[in-house]
Amino acid sequence: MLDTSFQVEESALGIFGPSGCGKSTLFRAISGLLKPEEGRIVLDEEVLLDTEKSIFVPPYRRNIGLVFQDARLFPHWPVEKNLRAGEFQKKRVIGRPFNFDDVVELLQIRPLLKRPVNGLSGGEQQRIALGRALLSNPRLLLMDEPVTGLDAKLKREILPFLSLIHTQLNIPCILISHDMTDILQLSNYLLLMHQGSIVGQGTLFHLISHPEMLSKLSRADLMNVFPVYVKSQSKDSGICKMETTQDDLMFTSDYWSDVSRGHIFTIGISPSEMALALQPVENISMCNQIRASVIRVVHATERSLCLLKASRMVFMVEITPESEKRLRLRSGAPVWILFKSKAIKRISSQGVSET
Amino acid sequence: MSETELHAIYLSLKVALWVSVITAPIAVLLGWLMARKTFRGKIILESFIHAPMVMPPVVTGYLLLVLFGRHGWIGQWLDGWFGFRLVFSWQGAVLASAIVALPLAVRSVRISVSMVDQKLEEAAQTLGFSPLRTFFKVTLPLAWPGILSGVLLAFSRSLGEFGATITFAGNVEGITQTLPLAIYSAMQVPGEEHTAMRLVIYSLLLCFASLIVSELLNRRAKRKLLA
Repeated sequence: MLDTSFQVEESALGIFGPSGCGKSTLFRAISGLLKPEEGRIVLDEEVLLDTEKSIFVPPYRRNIGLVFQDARLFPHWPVEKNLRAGEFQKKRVIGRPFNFDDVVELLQIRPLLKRPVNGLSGGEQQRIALGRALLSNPRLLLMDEPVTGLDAKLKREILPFLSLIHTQLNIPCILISHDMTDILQLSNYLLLMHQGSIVGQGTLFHLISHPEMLSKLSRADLMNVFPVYVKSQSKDSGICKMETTQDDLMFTSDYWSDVSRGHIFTIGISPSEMALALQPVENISMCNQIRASVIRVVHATERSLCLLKASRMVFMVEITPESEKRLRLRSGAPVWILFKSKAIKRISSQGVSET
Repeated sequence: MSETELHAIYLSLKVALWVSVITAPIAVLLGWLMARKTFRGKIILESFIHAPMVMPPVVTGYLLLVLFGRHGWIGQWLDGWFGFRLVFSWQGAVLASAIVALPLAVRSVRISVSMVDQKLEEAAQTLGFSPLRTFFKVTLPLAWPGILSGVLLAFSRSLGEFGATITFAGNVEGITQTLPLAIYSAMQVPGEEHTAMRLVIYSLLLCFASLIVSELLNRRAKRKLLA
């Protein structure tokens, strides 16, 4: 049972919610694979569905690409033929702002082109499914849990491609996931779903600012996600110093043997692994102390989420209501955010900086 | 081999070939319909298609006479407008065998189409494939081994068709006397035992040959699919 209503004017959108909340059903309705009994779907001023006026545009006329969770490659065709499956429509190909080779390079699938489909790994299949959808030049790309079920290393490889699709190929995207961290790689604008309905939409910051929406997000869902680049590393000291790409905040993480200076990637720090202090703390083993000011504190059941601003970045730190009272946190109050080097998790690689 | 015997073999092959050609597209259409669509009256359609499989072939032949005989409902129209009679003609033998063999082909097609993952068809639609293109580029190639089996089954079945053929098309030497009918006729005549035996051997050879060809074609189709 799906009962949703929303209007979005973004070029990248993340749909978030627990398993079974209706995200995939919503995708099927948008792509036309599912014909709702009642409803209205409009994309770029074109009416795709209007049950009152008996309008229904079938999926093959909607020009909406869909990358499924199970890659669904055609088993009787080799990889290249699968990739080119959507190219039979000459009109679509002529207007395409990228060509076959661009996509092959972007997804790094050149060595796979002549191979048959069976025998490919999960990650390879997903990349090819992505390439196939892209090459059909969709005006909107829907991705249904494209990295769910892949191991962490594979996820780190594929996630950057997803955001590249949006930024380099300029295709509007909607991503479904039950993993907030995955979604935040692609988009800041979210649709929060719960049991068949949309309970909130907006940036994560907006969503967590409202208790009724925050209550739908579990502890595991919240993550501070930032792009950073490596400034220096020291194996002896066991640390890696990095700077956020958009500001000049410096973080110190554990040493990683496979990164080097200039390397860019996305990191995540869980709000439950951060602490707040009213003054900077000397003589403490924690490597990171960030000066910030409180924006506000939001309360969900049993926990409080403190939203803070440091430079131009927003941080979420989880504290107990007791601590909140004890520290007397108020809007505008200066605090220090503390966390260990170990709290910094690598999420995905974005390549190497040219500076 | 006498001319009659040669003719019997030739007729059997000719009828079986035509049956395959005619039942193939019909079986594919009906098999696909049964596998993919639900509609009111589907059970009735299914029953009609499968009826010849459970009815005594003679009954099938009788019903064909009622419909297509010289004074049959459709038969008299054919006779009046085109001067064409199906009874006692090799085309009549084709019709009789086709009706009997069709259910076998439909079942085979239905099973193989239903085994084609509909998720692949959905993926095709999101890539801009119309339902027709989806059918020809995705469903058909993937269901092909099963479809081929069905058509070959129809071929084999019609090689052995007797009851409906003799009832509707008759046992006219040189015109509708297929191999099974020729064997039957030979057995009625005392002194023609050797003829009957020869015809039986030809019949068995044809059966084995068609089985072997069928198996080879099937294997080739499966190999190409998984290539």
